[in-house]
Amino acid sequence: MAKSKIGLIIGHEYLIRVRKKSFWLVGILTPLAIVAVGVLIGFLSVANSSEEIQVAVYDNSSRLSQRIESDDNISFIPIAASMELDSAKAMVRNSSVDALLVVPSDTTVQYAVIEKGMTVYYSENVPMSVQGEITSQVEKIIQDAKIKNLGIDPETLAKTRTDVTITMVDISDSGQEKEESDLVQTVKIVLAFALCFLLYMFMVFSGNMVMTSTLEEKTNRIVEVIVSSVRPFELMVGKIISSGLVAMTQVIIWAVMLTGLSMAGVAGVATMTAGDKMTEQALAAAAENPETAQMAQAMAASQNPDAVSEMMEIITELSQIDFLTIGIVSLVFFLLGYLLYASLYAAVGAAVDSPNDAGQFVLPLTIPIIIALYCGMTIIDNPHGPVAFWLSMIPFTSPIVMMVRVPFGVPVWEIVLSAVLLLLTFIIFTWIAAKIYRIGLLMYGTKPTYKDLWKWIRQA
Amino acid sequence: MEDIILSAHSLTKVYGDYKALDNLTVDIPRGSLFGLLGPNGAGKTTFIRLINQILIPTSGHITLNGAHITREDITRIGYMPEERGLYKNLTVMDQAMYLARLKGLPAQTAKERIRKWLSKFEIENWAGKKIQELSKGMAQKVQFIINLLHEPELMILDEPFSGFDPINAELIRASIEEMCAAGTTVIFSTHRMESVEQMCSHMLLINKGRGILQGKISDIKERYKEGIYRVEIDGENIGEVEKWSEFVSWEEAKSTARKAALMRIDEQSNPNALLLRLSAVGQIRSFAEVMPSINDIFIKAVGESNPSHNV
Repeated sequence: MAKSKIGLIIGHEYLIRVRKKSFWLVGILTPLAIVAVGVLIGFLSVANSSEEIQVAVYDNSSRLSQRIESDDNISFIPIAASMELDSAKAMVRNSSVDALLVVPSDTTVQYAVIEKGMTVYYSENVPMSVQGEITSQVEKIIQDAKIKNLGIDPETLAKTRTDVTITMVDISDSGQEKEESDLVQTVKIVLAFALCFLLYMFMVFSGNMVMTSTLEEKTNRIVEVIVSSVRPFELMVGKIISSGLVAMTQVIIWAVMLTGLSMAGVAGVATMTAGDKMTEQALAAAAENPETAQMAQAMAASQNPDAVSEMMEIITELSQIDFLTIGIVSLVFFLLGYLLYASLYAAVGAAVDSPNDAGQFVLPLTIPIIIALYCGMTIIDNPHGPVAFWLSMIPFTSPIVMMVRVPFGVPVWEIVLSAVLLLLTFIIFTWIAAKIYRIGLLMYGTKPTYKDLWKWIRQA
Repeated sequence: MEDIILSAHSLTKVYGDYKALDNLTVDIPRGSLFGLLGPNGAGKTTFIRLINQILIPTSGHITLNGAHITREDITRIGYMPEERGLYKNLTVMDQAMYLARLKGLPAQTAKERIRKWLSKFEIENWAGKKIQELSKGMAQKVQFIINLLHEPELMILDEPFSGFDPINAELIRASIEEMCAAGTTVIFSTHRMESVEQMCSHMLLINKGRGILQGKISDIKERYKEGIYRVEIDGENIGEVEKWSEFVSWEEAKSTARKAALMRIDEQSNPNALLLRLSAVGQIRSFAEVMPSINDIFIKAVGESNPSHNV
């Protein structure tokens, strides 16, 4: 019977949320917004860089003005040495050029004065990237000049260029030697970040959902009727599971939307580019003979064996990753981590009377999550270092940190130890949370202190 | 022996160093309309929450139909808390369905009963409305209905009339009496003595966590009556009665201009003798024994249970 009641609660809470317009708005608008922002940024950066910057070069010794090269973004215009510096500056002020590069006179082989003495005058509308671009060009010019002065042959120098690649071979636990390609590394990193973010989202968003819905029932005063029908613990579990399901549904909607959008995008680009060629071909072909059109199609289809073998190669490489183990281990940590935090959020929701009062109790929950997320991002360089190890042992940070470590392979004993610690913490804290939940639900009026919470825990 | 539906045995609930309920023992007869009476903070809500198993007793226990109360029993109990509340942005139908199903009703039955009760209260057209669109009184009606849906054996109503206008209060009162006549035991918790007086057959008086008086209301009144009779009498010489040993005081009748005398006689004495003597003084318009009001009984009982305490 208890089971069917939890089922009822889950179903009810899930439907309430999923039926809300806001749920679908967030579900549909978020991916659209992500794509829109992406497109916008792309568009803006193109639009921004498309304008050419005109830089006048005032260089009395003419050591740079001859060699500095214009490109799509910046065009350099040497100005006559006879011009006064002030009138050159006036060109910037009256906008006949965007900026003025002043190179100090220096005829030494060391170029010391030039190296430290260049100035760019501008009035407005000059992107900061100009500074970097000029710097790198000038550095290159001076470097070349110095090489020449030292009598080094550029070709000899070119021969000294070295390109080192190291193959990483993992010979740990499984005992199987496996070479890891860049692709595998990348996939692992992406996987680590994705799992880590997903859990973070579940903890924070679903956790908050559990908290607000508990708080809502409490302020509505309906909670007394509910707990006269079901155990508070059943109510808590029902809310935690349904919030998790809501978040999962949201993630699925996003995934579907983003996949759909990116496929539409790819298809759009493909038809745009292919369309142009195809129409030309088709027109030409159709003009001659309908059979040629068919042949063209057949050719287009048979064009792909390369692509197929490439795909096969990718698949074999990816099959080196032990997706099964990663899946199982991350599922365990994901579930335990979510349940641990969600029950703590539930306890907070039950303990307080208003969202404002929740803040002081939510903060200690958020801090370990943020630490875990931040450290998770940084340990990706060395997923087996000491920080990674200890954070994946501490139960409040271990779920998120393990998400990052798991794709790179974690020794079995570490996984087991960490999981056991997490499980114990989960049991203890859910028990505590359930007590706070049960007592807090019917406590109104005063904002509880930590001392009160401790009393509740001991009393119940 | 009376048929008892629910009993509390030495029930005690302690919060920290505060005793909300202190060694309460009470029997609630089946089919009674049982008044749970006491001032605010007396422990009524604690007792109710213990029955509903929202709280766990510090010591003592509760039996329902003679057996220890269990979680499964909550489907036999209906409860309308004093603090009313519903989901504001759910429709009447949706929340009635959810709450009825939490009490163990199958969906189909729940739906039928909701329709039945809504039409009985002539509010069928509210089914699709959200609570936030209804007035407070309307929402209370809905809440009252929701607690009936699973047809509980035992119905607990905490201050059921608060927040109702007189017309709706009457509707609720009629429904409670109807429910009771149909065999449901109703526990009716209130701090308003007069509503218990009007409706209840049995009661428990509770103060500072202690049960101080319980039983059939007629028996209690019989026990607490003081042999006082109220006489309305007309005549020239009625002032004479003031000198009698039985005379207590004059009482100004509210509805008529007539004065009434309150007279006290011993329990053994025959009221007929007093009536005869009075009839010699003037014309008797009415002669009736004054039964103590629950309020009087309460004050007296509290005083007795706690002699040092001046009520």
